[in-house]
Amino acid sequence: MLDRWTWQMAWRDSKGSRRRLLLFLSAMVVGVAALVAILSFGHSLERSIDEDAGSLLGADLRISSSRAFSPALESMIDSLGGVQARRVSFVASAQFSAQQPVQTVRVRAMDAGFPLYGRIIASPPEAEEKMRAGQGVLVAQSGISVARVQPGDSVTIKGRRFEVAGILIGARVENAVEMLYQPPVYMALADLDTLDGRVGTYEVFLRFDREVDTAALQSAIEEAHDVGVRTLADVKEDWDFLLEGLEAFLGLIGFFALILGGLGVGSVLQVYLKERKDTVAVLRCVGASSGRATRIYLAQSIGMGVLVGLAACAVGTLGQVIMPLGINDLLPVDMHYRVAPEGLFAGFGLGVGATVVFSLVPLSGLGAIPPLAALRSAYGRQRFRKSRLAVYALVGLGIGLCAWVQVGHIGVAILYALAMGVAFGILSLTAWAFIRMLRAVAPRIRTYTWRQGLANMHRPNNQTLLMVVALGLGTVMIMTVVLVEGAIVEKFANLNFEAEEIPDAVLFLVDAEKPEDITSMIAAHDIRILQTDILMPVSVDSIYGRSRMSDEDSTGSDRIGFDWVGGATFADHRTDSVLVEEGTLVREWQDSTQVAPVAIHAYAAREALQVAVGDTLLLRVLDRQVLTRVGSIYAGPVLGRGMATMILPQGILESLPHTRVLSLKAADPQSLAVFHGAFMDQFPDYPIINVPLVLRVVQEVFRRLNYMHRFMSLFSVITGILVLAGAVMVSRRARIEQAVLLKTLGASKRQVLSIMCVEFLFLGLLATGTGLGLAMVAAWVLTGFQLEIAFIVPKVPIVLAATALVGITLGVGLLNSRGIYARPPLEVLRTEV
Amino acid sequence: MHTIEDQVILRVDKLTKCYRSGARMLTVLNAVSFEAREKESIAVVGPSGSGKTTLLGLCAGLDKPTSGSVVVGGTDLAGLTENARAALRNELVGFVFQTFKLIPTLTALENVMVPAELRRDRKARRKAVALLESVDLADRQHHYPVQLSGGEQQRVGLARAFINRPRILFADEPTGNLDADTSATIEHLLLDLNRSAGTTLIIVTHNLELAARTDRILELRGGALVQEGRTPAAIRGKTA
Ligand SMILES: Nc1ncnc2c1ncn2[C@@H]1O[C@H](COP(=O)(O)OP(=O)(O)O)[C@@H](O)[C@H]1O
Ligand SMILES: [Mg+2]
Repeated sequence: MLDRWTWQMAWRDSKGSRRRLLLFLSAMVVGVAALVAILSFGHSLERSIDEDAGSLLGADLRISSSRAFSPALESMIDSLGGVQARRVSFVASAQFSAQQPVQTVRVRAMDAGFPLYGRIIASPPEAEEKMRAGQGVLVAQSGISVARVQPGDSVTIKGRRFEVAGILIGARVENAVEMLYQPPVYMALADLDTLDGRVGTYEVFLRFDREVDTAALQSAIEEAHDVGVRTLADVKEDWDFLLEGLEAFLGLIGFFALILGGLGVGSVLQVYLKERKDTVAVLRCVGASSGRATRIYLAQSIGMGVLVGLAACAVGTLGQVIMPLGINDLLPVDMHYRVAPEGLFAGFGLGVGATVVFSLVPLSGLGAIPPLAALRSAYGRQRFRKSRLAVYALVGLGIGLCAWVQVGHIGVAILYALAMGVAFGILSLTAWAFIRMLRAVAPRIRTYTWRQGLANMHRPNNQTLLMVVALGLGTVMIMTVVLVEGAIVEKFANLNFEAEEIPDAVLFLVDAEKPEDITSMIAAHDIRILQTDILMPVSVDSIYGRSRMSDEDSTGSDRIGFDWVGGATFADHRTDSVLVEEGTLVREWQDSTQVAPVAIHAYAAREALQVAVGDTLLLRVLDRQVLTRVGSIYAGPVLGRGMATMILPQGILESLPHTRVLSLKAADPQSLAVFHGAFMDQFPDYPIINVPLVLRVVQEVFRRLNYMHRFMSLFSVITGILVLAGAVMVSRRARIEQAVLLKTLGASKRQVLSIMCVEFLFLGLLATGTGLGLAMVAAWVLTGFQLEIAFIVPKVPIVLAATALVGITLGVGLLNSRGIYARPPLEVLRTEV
Repeated sequence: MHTIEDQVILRVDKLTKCYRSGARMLTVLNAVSFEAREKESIAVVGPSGSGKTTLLGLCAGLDKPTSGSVVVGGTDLAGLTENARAALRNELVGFVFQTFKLIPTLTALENVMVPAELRRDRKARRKAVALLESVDLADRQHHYPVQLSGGEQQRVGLARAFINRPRILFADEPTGNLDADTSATIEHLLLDLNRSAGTTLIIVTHNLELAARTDRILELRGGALVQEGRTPAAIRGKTA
């Protein structure tokens, strides 16, 4: 079909346009490269984790307990064989000589064997030896909490001074996010004996020198002893789960970039092939069949596809290295970047496939060029040919296929393709309606430049439709991601922390023996108690209609609510201020024979439990079961209420032991830190949450993930601009002709420019407006139905985006039209296309 | 002696072409009939807009008539598909355009080769080189159209028209875009090539001198054939 001559002609015919074509193919390259980068990065990370799972766990199997191991467990461990290593960890405050405030650190005392896989990296390198010999500790300088500590400094933990032997640079077994929150301090296990009052985690690490069924061992140990067991499979599973989420999200952006790039190639080819109209007509005049003429350009697009595929593979493979730069220290392992064969394969395939598929629409128009066009430029409309429908169907199929490669789920892929089609349809319809309207309205406009600018949008052979569709789809894609991300961040920010006064620390007094000691310590440190709350752990045993009984074998909606654990408090004067959204909040309940009404926080009720007012719940509070019905649903901050998500009326359960939750506010960060350290040393049994620190850690993690997202979005934006430039170029010829004519007739440069401004301004407004509208609908659907969070219309990003998009349209349009006015009229009027 | 039927290469019968212009029908060509025999040369004359280009397009099967028939080399075009008509053109028909219509991305030589390459002619290059020599462009083979003057471009166009040894050649105002001197050269070349190749020539021209050197003149006015006459050259040809 594609014989030698066809390829030869294709090659010869591309002469003179190659550089321009390459430029515009870059839009496609960017899109495909984004996908290759994601696939390769995922592949590299997965393989790296697989290879290093041992060093992530530090063993083949880990047994951990919050108490020292029982003699029975010890003998069982010994019977397992293999190599053992031990570690004890606990949270403590640390006073560094180099700086004043006290820090919360995680002390990890280890024996010589730890870790069984992987290494501890310290600076200077000999510091590790010193630590193991009991001549000092290693301190992690993981970012936010521990400031510049130097080897040779000292640190005081639980009243004992240690020398800082060196800095802990990294250890695979550490969790990166945990390290941000509580930087670890490593010491020899022998040193631990000099410290007292320790509460912590006891761990034994095992490495086997024979094949061991760790899964079976895991369940056997967990069954017989009250300990947690973790295997390599658990590690991999956790990361696979995270990776899948990451890849799906990034993949979505990559997919958008690809489709945008495809549109770009489609619209550029449209221009390019329009210029080839004469060539096709002549070829047909001298006896080439329409198929033969078309195949020349098909061969060209295949050739371009191959180029796109190759370039994308190269760029994408490099991109996988740049992409995660911002999150490198959050990654669990050293990345061994490798060329992912499936990434390259998919990239090349997508490069060729998408380029060809997206050139089909302009290519299908070639066959319709009549040979008569060689004799006289044919005017009048081209007939709509049924084969076009087939082409559109093919393009749809191609998009679905791309989505399938990306998402790996056929249903979702079809949905994507359909959504794309709908967006395409709506945009086309809007543009069509607009053109119609212009035709009616434009002639009545008084100012000539406005009238002419608008008239240009509906002149014969106008590119309004193409530009609106290309620009609009770009807007939809970019803005949908932005809006969805905004909703996620918004949700997170508003979940707990909208209290009038955010506490600095939250203290949990579980069965406090001498609460006066604690309160006097708080007072001594000049810390204010914002409020005291009562909290009891509460879970759900049964929801009317859903039963915990079928827990094991039921999935999905049947299980909703049973994994939930919350805190309950009693109604009192403080709870009067809550915002009741539905039902009435009952403060007291005397009639113990009746089902007690409970108030549930809106988030817990709607999202976690999915219950409504009137539903009957069997709650479990400690070891007691209480039958309740949802009396009301309330909104508002959780943190300010001691983290309670349920309010029970007074008159029940007061007799049960409960935790008192103190919300504390310090005068300044320093006194908070000092208090925090002192408190932990004196009352190590009571959990305390340093709220600002938690917030900072969360923000930090978000910031780094955001980097990755922005990097990917950049792909879309670049592609979008390239596509836009392509679309504008389509109409350059017509605009040159008009400008020259107007100039000949005596129009000033200003007038010519303002006509073009009007044109691009309206194009930008129309496309951006429609695109934003569609994006909002898409984001609303995604957040509401897929992510199940409330969709808030963020005004600032929308206004910003709209301004930017219209600005970019105008900018790219005018930039592409520069020099038009300077064209000498004669030259332009004489030369043909 | 052979019959007239044998000699007819083109037969046009009651050829009519209408265009819809708004609500009105515009008759551009009205029941035109004529025949062209092998080796005959015919000039088509008439004012601008009289339908000359339309007639040529229909004869070459570039467009479909509203009614009437065109028979080229014994084949009725009406019965052919688009692609079959293209194949027929490749085999029998040559074309010379007023605006030259060289493919801008191909060199002179490559342009000339195209029709031969389309029929997978292995000698395409050799034939093209020979033809370029005969139009006196041997040294411009590897130039692109933009590097050639109008007259040179049209000479390339002539070479391209003859490469498949067409039995009938259509030329639509081949010198309409050229100055008088260059026109004369091109006309000479065209008639020479035509004569030596034994091609039937149908040429649209405003140049009455050139028309006078053909065998026959068809005059179109408002889409209708108003006069079909022998020219002095035709008479000379008959008597010679
Ligand atoms: N596609 C078309 N639609 C309407 N009218 C047409 C079309 N093509 C040609 N015409 C008209 O047909 C007439 C004859 O055109 P043409 O054959 O090009 O004339 P000539 O070559 O003799 O100058 C002209 O009046 C022209 O306007
Ligand atoms: Mg004409």
